[in-house]
Amino acid sequence: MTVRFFHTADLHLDSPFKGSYHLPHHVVQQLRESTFQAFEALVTYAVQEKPDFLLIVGDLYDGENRSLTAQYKFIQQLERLNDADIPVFMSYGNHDHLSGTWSRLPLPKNVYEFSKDVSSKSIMIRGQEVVIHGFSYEKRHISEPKIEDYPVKNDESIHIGTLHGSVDTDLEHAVYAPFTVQQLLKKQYDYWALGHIHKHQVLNEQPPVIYSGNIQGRHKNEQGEKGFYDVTIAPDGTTFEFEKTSVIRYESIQLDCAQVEDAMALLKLIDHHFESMREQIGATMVELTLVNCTHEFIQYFHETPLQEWESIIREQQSAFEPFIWLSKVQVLQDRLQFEDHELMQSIIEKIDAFDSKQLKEITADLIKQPKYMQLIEPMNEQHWQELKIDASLQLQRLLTGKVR
Amino acid sequence: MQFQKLQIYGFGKHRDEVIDFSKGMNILFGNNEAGKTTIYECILQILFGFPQKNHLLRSYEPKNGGNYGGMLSIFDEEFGAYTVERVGGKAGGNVRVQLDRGESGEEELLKKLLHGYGRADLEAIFAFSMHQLQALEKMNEDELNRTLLASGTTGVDQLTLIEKQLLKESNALFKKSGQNPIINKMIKDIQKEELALKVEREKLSKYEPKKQELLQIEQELISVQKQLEKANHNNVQIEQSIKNRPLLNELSSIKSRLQELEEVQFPAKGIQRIEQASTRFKQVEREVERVSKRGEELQLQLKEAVSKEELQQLQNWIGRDEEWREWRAQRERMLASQQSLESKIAMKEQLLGLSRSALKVDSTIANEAQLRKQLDEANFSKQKIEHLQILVSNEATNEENRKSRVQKNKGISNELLIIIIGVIAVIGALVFKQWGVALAIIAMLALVLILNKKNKNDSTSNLNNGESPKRQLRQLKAQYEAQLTEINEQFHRMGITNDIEPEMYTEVFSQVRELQQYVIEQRQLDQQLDSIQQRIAERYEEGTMLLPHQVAESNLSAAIQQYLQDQTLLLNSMQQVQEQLRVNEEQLMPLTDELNELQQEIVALYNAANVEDLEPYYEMANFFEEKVRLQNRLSDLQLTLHDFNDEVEYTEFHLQQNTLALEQLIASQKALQAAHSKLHAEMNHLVTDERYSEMLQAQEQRKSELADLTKDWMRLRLVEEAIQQTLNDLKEDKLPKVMDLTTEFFQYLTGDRYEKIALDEEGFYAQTSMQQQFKIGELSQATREQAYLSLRFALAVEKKVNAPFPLLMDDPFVHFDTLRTAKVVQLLRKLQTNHQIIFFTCQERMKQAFEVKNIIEVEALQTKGD
Repeated sequence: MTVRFFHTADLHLDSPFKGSYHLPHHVVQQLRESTFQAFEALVTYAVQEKPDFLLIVGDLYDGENRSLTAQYKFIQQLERLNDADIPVFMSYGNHDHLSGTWSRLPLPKNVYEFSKDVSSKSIMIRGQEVVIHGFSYEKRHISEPKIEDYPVKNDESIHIGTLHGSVDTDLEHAVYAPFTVQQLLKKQYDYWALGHIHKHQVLNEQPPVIYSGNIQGRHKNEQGEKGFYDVTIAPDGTTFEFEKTSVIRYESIQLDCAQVEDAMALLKLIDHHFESMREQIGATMVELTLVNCTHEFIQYFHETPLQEWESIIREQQSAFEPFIWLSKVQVLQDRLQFEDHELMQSIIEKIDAFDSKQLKEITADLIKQPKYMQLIEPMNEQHWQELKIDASLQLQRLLTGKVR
Repeated sequence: MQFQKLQIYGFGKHRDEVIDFSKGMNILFGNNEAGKTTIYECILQILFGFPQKNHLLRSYEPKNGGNYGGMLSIFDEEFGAYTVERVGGKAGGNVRVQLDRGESGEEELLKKLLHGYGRADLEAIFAFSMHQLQALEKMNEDELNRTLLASGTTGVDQLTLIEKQLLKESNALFKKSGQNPIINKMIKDIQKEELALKVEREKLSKYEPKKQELLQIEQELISVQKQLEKANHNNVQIEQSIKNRPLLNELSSIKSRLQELEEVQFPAKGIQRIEQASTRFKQVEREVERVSKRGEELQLQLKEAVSKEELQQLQNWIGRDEEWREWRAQRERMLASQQSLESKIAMKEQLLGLSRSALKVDSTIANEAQLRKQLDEANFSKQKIEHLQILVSNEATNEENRKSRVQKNKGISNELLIIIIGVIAVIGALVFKQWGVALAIIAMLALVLILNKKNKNDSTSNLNNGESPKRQLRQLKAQYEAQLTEINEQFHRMGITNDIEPEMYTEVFSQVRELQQYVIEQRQLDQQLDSIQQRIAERYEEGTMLLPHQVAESNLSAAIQQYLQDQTLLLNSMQQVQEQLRVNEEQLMPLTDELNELQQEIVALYNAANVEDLEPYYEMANFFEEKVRLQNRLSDLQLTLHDFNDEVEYTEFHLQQNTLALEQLIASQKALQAAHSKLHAEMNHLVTDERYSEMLQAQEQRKSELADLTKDWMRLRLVEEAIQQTLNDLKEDKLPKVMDLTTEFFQYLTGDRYEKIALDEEGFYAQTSMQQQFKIGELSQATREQAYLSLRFALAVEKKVNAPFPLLMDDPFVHFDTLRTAKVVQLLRKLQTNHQIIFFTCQERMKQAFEVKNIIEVEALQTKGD
């Protein structure tokens, strides 16, 4: 007996988009609606394809943001699934954990919510028993390895494990209900549906251990296609297919500007690229880096403030649909050496020589402001490095006699 | 390095001009608008590039077309002589550098040749303009210090400018306690927005309590509704009670009246029926009267006639009239017969010598059978004797014939005799109506006949059997004697005392028989006569009874007949009358029946109304009508007052109170409903309101922008700081070197008024020859300028080591007075020995101040070039 289901996670419905500003209203609207539209697309597909059930593994929305509209729209989609008799098994993650004091709207009856302890829910699908294991986050951080509470499979039913958390060896992401792939495999389940990591990835092929990723990127670090997994467990094996749902994509592209001498050429090149992006990808938030530029062009480029470049490019692209929003444009340039210009050299050396402590002092006026500290993420080493490089580049621009 | 020659192809309004420079001072003299600045720009632009299109710097590209650019010939201590040619072309112009010693190149080479100096660098150190000096006036202590510092160190006014620019920018972005800078504002905005978000979040968090409240309100609404219904109900009741008071009163009065009328009954449609009945009654009555009257008339007509039975009897009698006559005739006959019979009997008596009375007719008859039998037997025996005698005598031949004949005859005659006797007996029996006897006689006859035949056969067989005929004969004779004896006996019994000869037996017997018969006949006749007489008498009696008067027997029949006729007629007519009466009666009967019925009906109606007469009947009708009306009203009232229990007597006061309570309830219901709607709308609004998420998104955007702005600011700060530090280093390091020279120049320029200019922690200061120290900010504009110039010159001189550019001076001393001008001129004269100076001026005095070979008249250049 084959069992077919959809695996998705990290919907983050209605959580705001970071990193962009001065967006025209319609872009903001589309950004705001993109997570909902992505989820709606998923549900429409489910209503059409009628899988046996849907798994949502955590972080459905940012509960801390208290969005009632998110819940409301989410429930509307769940109702559609209810009308199509598709059960939904969902668990709450670190962002929408159970201890939150936000109002919870009642869910339709086809929805099963996992509680704070690891539990198993069993359903019969055309005579085949399917057991789904999972748990919801009780509070924002869970550092215990919840994997140890999952039972080992010891019968002929199909077992599916759901877990919102991070791989133990992954230092990049905060440690949430950590596990190793080995631990997962030891449970002998037929499929592991993971959540928490927004980049979809297959950690193991057979049996599949998969992060479905989120269904819509929310800032420039979540680039590429976003979607969910369409999984079929058959007696002769498990197959899975990634289905795209993202409505707006984040991309960073590099434009080779070797042939670009002036604004017109640049705009034309950009237009050409954007056009093909529109066709191939759709609505995109894009960061442009101009590479292989000639000196002259670089100088030419820096004669006009970046905001103006951005403004011109955006204006040129504003008439087209779907929108391509230029969030940033920059020129990749090398640092010059000012061998003959000792003064300049010494200034640059000074910049390079700054360490974090000094940097913090230099910027103390702002970053030590209590009001400020609440609002902006503190800088880490990498940020300081980038800052120093930017500073020296800026100085360079200044010193080469062009206006910033 | 030195400029040697400037060839202008086309620049501004200069075209095809050549300027030769000499060492030391070069005066380029020209009035305003002569094109001095143009030449200045030309030099710098050849070296550092034409401004880009849209650049802030003005372009001097010739408007008429033609060549654009020029060539500058330079001699450098390090690099030797070289030319720099720049013409119009791509963005900054196409530059070509050609060294005398062979190398050629473009921008890269040029840069190297220019010791890495950019235009700003060069201008910062080696260019002097009025603006720079004038700017000092506006500067504060700090700015002055910085300017001087800059001037005295790198000469990078540029750096200072940059630093100034950066500071301006960074301050525009953020100042620690500022209000206006972008970041400050943004932080405030974000905070404000945070509060607004908090408010929104508060609102959203109200969802849950609102939900609870909603449920509660719903509960309350339900309870209020109940109360409302109850109050309404009460209201209705009270109102009804009040309304119903009069009705109740009416009810009770009706009830009591009905009580009075309880007994009142009245048949349905009573009036109609009584009237119908009465009318009909009268009709029928009249009819009855009419018919009765007629009947009476008829009755009067009725005469007494005999009754039908009597008539019948009469008819009956007459019907038997024949019989009567017959009987009378019979009587006559019988009387006649009697007579004849008497005579016969008498005859017979005579004959027989027997009185009739002696004849035992009865026993004769009784014995007759026996006698007959004996006779027969005797006869038979006799016959047999004869027979035997014959036989004995005459044996054979005629035996059979005779036998058969005799037998036949005898047989026949025996049988005939029997039959005749039998028949007579039967008739006699029948006459006496002795049926049984008749039957018995018939039976006996039959039996006898059969026996006879048998005997005959027996005797025949006996005869044939062959006993000896003699014996037989003797036997027979004996037998015969016995028989005869017996027969005589019989006759005796009969009353015949005489002996009789056997041959006479039969005859006697038949005479006796005849006598017997006559006697019997007589007897019979007597009887018959009696009976006839009786009958006649009876009939006569019967007849006379029927008649009103006595009549003789012989007339009876006629009288009766007549009477019958009369009576019949009478009867018929009476019958007719009767018939009419009957008809009348028939008519009358239904009428009277109907009358009775009607009467009964009327009576029934009266009874139904419990009255006995018409007047009260009508009265009763009225009462009944009233009763019915009241009953209807009663049931209406009862229906109306159906649910009403008048236990409590409500008054207007109650109504008021209740109405008030009702109003209050309605008000509270309205309020609750309003609250409900409001809550519901609010809740709905909360789940559908995009505002919060829009605000969140906007806030996030602000934060992103803040992050970027922060980076911008930080970057600026870094650069600032780096520059600052560098400047400080320079201050520590480079400046001192310059300061000595600066003091020297300063002393000179101020005419020894000031003896020193120095730098301490607080900044620059000037010390007068009187040892007075003035902070740089305290100096007058003129003195500031002198201080500035001193520094600049000092730096330029110092720089000569690394970057020996000519000094480019664009009429910086226009505003100096004569004395100061003289002073500065003197300084310049000194300097020009080591430095090439290109001095642009429009002042005659400057022209005259220098006995310089090289005074280039700018205006003359054009003509020269032509």
